Amino acid sequence: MTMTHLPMFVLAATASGAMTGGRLLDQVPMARNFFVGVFEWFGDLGLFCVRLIRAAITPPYEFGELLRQCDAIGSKSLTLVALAGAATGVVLSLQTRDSLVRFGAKAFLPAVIVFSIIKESGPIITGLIVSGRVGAGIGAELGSMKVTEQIDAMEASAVDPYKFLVATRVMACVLMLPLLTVVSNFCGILMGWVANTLSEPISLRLFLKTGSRPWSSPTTSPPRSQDHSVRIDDWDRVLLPGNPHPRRHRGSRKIGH
Amino acid sequence: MKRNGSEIPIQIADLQKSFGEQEVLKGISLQVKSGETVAVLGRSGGGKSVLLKLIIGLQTPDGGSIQVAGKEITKLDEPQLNEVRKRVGFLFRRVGLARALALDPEILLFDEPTAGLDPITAAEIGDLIVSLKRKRKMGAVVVTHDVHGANAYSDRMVLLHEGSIAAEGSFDDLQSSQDEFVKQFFSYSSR
Repeated sequence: MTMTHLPMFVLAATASGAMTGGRLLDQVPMARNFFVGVFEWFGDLGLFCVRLIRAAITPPYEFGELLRQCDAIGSKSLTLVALAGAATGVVLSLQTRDSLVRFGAKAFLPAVIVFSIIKESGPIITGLIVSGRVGAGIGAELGSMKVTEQIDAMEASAVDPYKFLVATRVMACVLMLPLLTVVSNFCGILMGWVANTLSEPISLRLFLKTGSRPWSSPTTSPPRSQDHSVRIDDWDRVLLPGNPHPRRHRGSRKIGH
Repeated sequence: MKRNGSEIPIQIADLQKSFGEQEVLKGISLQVKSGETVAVLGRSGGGKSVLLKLIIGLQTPDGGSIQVAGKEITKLDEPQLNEVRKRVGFLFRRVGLARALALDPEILLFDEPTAGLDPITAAEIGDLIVSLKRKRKMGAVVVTHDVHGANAYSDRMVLLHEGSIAAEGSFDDLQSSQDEFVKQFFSYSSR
């Protein structure tokens, strides 16, 4: 939401409140409280981040607790992340195959799977899975510790709760999330290959080679009598059959079924 | 901090604390001598736990002063406060008893240590407090609702009412008090 949209939203909310029976002037404190609440929230978040960074970089360090959190966040989420990545790879392979075949670009399927998983799907799926599982668990654990005054007891024992509870969990997430993303990507690409192989056998080596270099030579040569290949120029622009070549093209190459 | 009767480990003067418009403590003054066990009694929500948290520096008072081991708690920064906390053991609802004792503190603060316990276990907690006082010369401030349990291990009792000290003294002194609230508190506790 841009800065122009926010005041419009507040004015609309204020006006709607007036239309439902309240006086317009009575809604001004509500709008003011809304703005103050937003700034307070961001302010609290900023102060929390400053305190967190200070606790994370100043000694003494809680390596033992950090390792324990890495195990709880990383290894305990491994199975779920791997399954989610695998499912993503299979679905991506099955659903994009038909579309690519329709345009004669089936050879791009490995590249579609590899690049979409590595660049977007893998990190997003991993982030959603970990935030749902780990985030909810951390919130529940720290919430119950706060209610039972364990955090106060920790602070009264001269143990910094930010260093012991917060910084260790944040650092564990920072360390484990990229590793979990790698696992998710691996499982997604592997299962994408499996799903692709079930319909049209292709070796894993060729799948990965084609996936990493989509501009390489076509895997199969189309029959001459039915040349439905699509040409792309050196700037990767698709040249449909019959269209004149762009003026500044340097050449083109065929990609086939 | 030396463990003899001449030094005063905790000295509270005119302590005030409010939460919004709710005044919890209205000028509490209290002294706890080294090796002395003081029981703080009162109604639920009367400010007993808040008093302990102010002593240990977990909350900041609105007025007054708190001196622990000769240091003004309200004027200390976090590292200095941690040094004081290492000398004061704090137990919330029996959490961290071993941790609190491991640092060999000179005084212990108990926040309702016998809440929810059966009478036998509650008596064992009381025996532990007495044992710590005798063997390790360790003083204590115990927040509790258990009047008769507190009588077994405390040297002095303090009864809080509406943010002020309604009565202070031994069990017999409080039981024979003519204050209406004190009489009502002790009559209900003996039922």
